[in-house]
Formats: sequence, structure tokens, C-alpha cells
Amino acid sequence: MTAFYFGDPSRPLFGRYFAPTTRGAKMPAVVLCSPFGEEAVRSFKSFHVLAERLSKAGAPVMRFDYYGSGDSGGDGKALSLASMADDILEAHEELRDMSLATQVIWVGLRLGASGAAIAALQKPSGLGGLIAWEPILSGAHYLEVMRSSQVANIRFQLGDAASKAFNTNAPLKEYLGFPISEHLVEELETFRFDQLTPKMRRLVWAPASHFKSDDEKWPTVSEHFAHKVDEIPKTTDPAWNSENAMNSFVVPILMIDQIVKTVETWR
Amino acid sequence: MKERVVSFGQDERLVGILKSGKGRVGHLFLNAGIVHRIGPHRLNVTLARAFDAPSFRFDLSGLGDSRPASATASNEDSIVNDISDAIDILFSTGCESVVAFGLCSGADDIYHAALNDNRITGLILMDPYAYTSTRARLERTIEKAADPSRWARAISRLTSKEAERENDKSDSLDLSNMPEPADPQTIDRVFPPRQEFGENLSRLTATGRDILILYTKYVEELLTKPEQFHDTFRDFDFHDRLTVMVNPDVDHTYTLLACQQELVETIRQWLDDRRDRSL
Repeated sequence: MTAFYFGDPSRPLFGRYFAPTTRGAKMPAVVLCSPFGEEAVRSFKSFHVLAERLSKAGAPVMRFDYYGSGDSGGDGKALSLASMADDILEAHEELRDMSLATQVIWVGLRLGASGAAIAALQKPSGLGGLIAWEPILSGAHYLEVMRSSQVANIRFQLGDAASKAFNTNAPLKEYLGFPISEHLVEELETFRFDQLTPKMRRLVWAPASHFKSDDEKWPTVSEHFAHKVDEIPKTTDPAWNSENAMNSFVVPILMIDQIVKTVETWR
Repeated sequence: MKERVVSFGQDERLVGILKSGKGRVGHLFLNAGIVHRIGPHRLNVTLARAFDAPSFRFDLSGLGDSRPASATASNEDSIVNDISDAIDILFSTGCESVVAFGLCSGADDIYHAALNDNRITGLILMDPYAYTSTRARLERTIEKAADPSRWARAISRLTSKEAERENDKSDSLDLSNMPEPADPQTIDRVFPPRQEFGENLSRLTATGRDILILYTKYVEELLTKPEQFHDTFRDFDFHDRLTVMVNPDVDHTYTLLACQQELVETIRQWLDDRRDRSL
């Protein structure tokens, strides 16, 4: 693994490049698109394991931190869906330069999948498709989840009085320790995954089963999203953002295996 | 931004981010638990960028982006070696001393490293080892008895069967049955004996090291006031170099942004005071 900064020097992004350790496999390159905030911390090890397994299978892999997250430049308030999409496109080009790959697949988890779907609207050269791993389908519903998690966290950590002082009608400005900009809130209020029309080559859903709200029901993906759409069967439902296990890891190894197999057989 | 990636240590297996800055006192940031070098809620990045000082945040062997140490080294030795190698990086940029920041396990690691490395002249220990006393236990019992929310939760638990039935009907979170925050003495963290901790803090301060201890709600079952700490360690001389603060309104990892900001300002004040004292 090689760690480095890339992108515009005034807007540096932190990246990790995993060179393929198996030659001749003719695998597509893979950009891993992290989720947001605490979910990125929770999935850190999952992405590390996924990157190592893909590189062992022969795929060049890029992991990176969005601007305003991780070791990349910028304050957390700089992060938005639009900036995530821009950063995914930047990582895509960086990986193409480094690996000379002709086809690049994006694997996006949670809000990372949503950002990737938005980035795909730009139809970047060489994009072979998207594996959307438990994508955020409705931004409005995600905001509700974030708000309830935030209140529950305050209650859990600091008690009833602190949670009662939290104004549930005020705009959400932070979520489990990470700032949320007004811009991101505005974007999420209107974001719907199934209304995007990138018309990419292939989309693979890797769904979770625990969604209960109507807004999060698995959508029927219309033909305007991708030429080919299929699904990785559900394996487990990791808790990516529960408030009572912060700063821990989740590694759903069966799903990681499925994603590696999907990339290995990508057509 | 003046940050760059540094691979270092044996076989360059360790990864860190070096930030350039002003002055000869470098800031060193340790992992907290298993979270990689950015820290819980990116706290290490926030703190590193809040101050002009050069800084280095890195992953210990086997954590984050760093590869594991050889199987022959004990975990304790590996941590001390990693920290020493990280200090070498700061010194290679012109630093002449280091203030080390650590939360929870990171605080434990700094404490042990400083006992063996006099280049660490300042220690900022967030929720390090904590010890109770008879006075602290008594005061805590009184605090609990006077806390109406505890009575409310007790009543809530008594009616939990009805709460469970209600929760089955909706997607709402069950707030009434949330567990208490972890008791630091019941988790997998080996505390040295009180006497040993006191002696070592005294030894560190006697050799010119300044120490800031910041306790949070995390240790509320052990102590809730700085006076209780000083009462517990009244037999030891800390040479006016140990500052203890307890903030029961802050959680273990400073989750609320306001708490993070308050932490930055508290440390800024301590660093300023320390610099003024040395002039």
C-alpha cells in the first residue's frame, strides 16, 4: 500500500494505492468510496480488507478521504454530496493514471454510493460501473436517521437533560461527532438515488434488509440508470452508525467476499 | 495545507502525517483504541491543525495504515519503539522536544513512553488511568441520589415490559433501555496500581515534564472533581507541573462539536501557560 496526497494542491486529498499483487488477471481497477462521518470510521477496516483482497485478486485499488474528511485537507463543513462526487472523479482519474487501467469500477458504501451515483452523471471515461453497497437511497430519510441517532447519542453519553436540551426542530449541524454543513443538509433533503440517470454500463446493488421506512424500500431501478442491473444477495446487516458502539469496526466478511467475486467476474 | 505522508520505522511499516509548523516543540498524536490516526471524530486532525506547531500523527504497528510489528516484540515494547521512531521524525525536522497527546489507550501509551523517553516534555492525557477514593465514592453516591434522571430511568426500567410492547409497534429507538456508558474499570484496560501511577507521575514532573490530565464523564464512577484526584494522590509531590481537570458534561471521545471546540481552547490555554512559564 502506498499512501500519498493527490489532486489540486489547494484542495489536497489523501489516498492509498493498493497495487495488484497478482499479475495477468486482467481485472478492472477499483475506486472505493467511503461513507460519511462515523460510518467512515466504522467501515475503515472493512475497506482495508476489501482493498487488500481485491489487490491480491489482481485489481489496482484506490482508497481515499474526501475533502473535509480523514487526512485530506479541509474542515468537515466543506464536505457535501457535490464535493464527494468531485473527489470520486478526481480519484478515478488518479487511479487511471497510476494503474493505466482501461476500466474502473466504483464501490460505494452508504453515502459513498450516493456520491458515486452523482459522480457517474459526469460519465467519466473508463467507468465500468458501480457496486452500490447499502446505498443511501433517500437523503431525507437519511437526515431523519442522523437526527434520531444524534439525539440518542447525546442521551446515551450525557443523559436525559442534555438530550432534552437538543432542539429537534433546529437544522441538523452535527452527526455523531462530525459537522454537517447547511449545503449538505440541503442536498440531502432532495436527494433520491432512483431519480438519477447516469445510464452507466452496469449497476450492482448490494442491499441491506433492515430498512423499514417506505423511503428506504429497495427501489425498482429503471432502465435509465444502467444498461445492466443486478444484485448481490444480502448477507448481513452491519450497524454502520449505531450510537452506542462508536469508534469501533464492523467487517462483514461475507459481503466483502461477494464484492470481490463480483469484481473478479466483471463483464 | 503543509502536510505530507511519512513512512518510517523498521521496514517503513509505519505510516504518519507530518505537518510543518513554527517552533521547536512538536506535537505528537497517538491512536485512541483501534481508531486510526485521525482520532475519534477526526479529533487528532482538528487538534493538529488548531496549533501552529509542527505535528505528527501516526498509526501504531497493526493499526490504521501501519503494518503489524514482528511477532518477536511484545505489544508494550512495540508501542514504545513506535513512539520513539515517531519522535525521531519530529526531531529530524528541527524539533527539540515533544508534547504528546493521547486519549484513553493513547494516554496510557504516552505515559509509558514518557517514562523511557525524556524527549517527551509535555503530556496531554485525556481519560488516562483513574482511581477512586473513599471521599470520591461518598460524593458520587450523594450525586447519584440527588440525580432525578436516575430515578426516572429506574422507574422506566420497572415499566420496561410495557415499553417493549410499544417499541414493537414502531421504528423508534428505545431510549429508556440504553445501557450506561462503559465503566472504565470493567473494560479490557489494565490499570497500574495507584501507588505506581502516583510515583511515576511524580517522577515525570520531577524531571521537568508538564502534564495535563483531562477527565470526562467516562470516569464518573471513579472521580468527578479534581480535588478527588489530588486527595487520592495527596502523598505525592507533582512539583506544580500537573494540572487535572474533570468535565462531567463531556463524553469520553468529545462527540459534540462544542465539546471538541472547548477541548481545543483548554489545551491552547495550557500550552500558552506552559510557554509563558518557560520564558
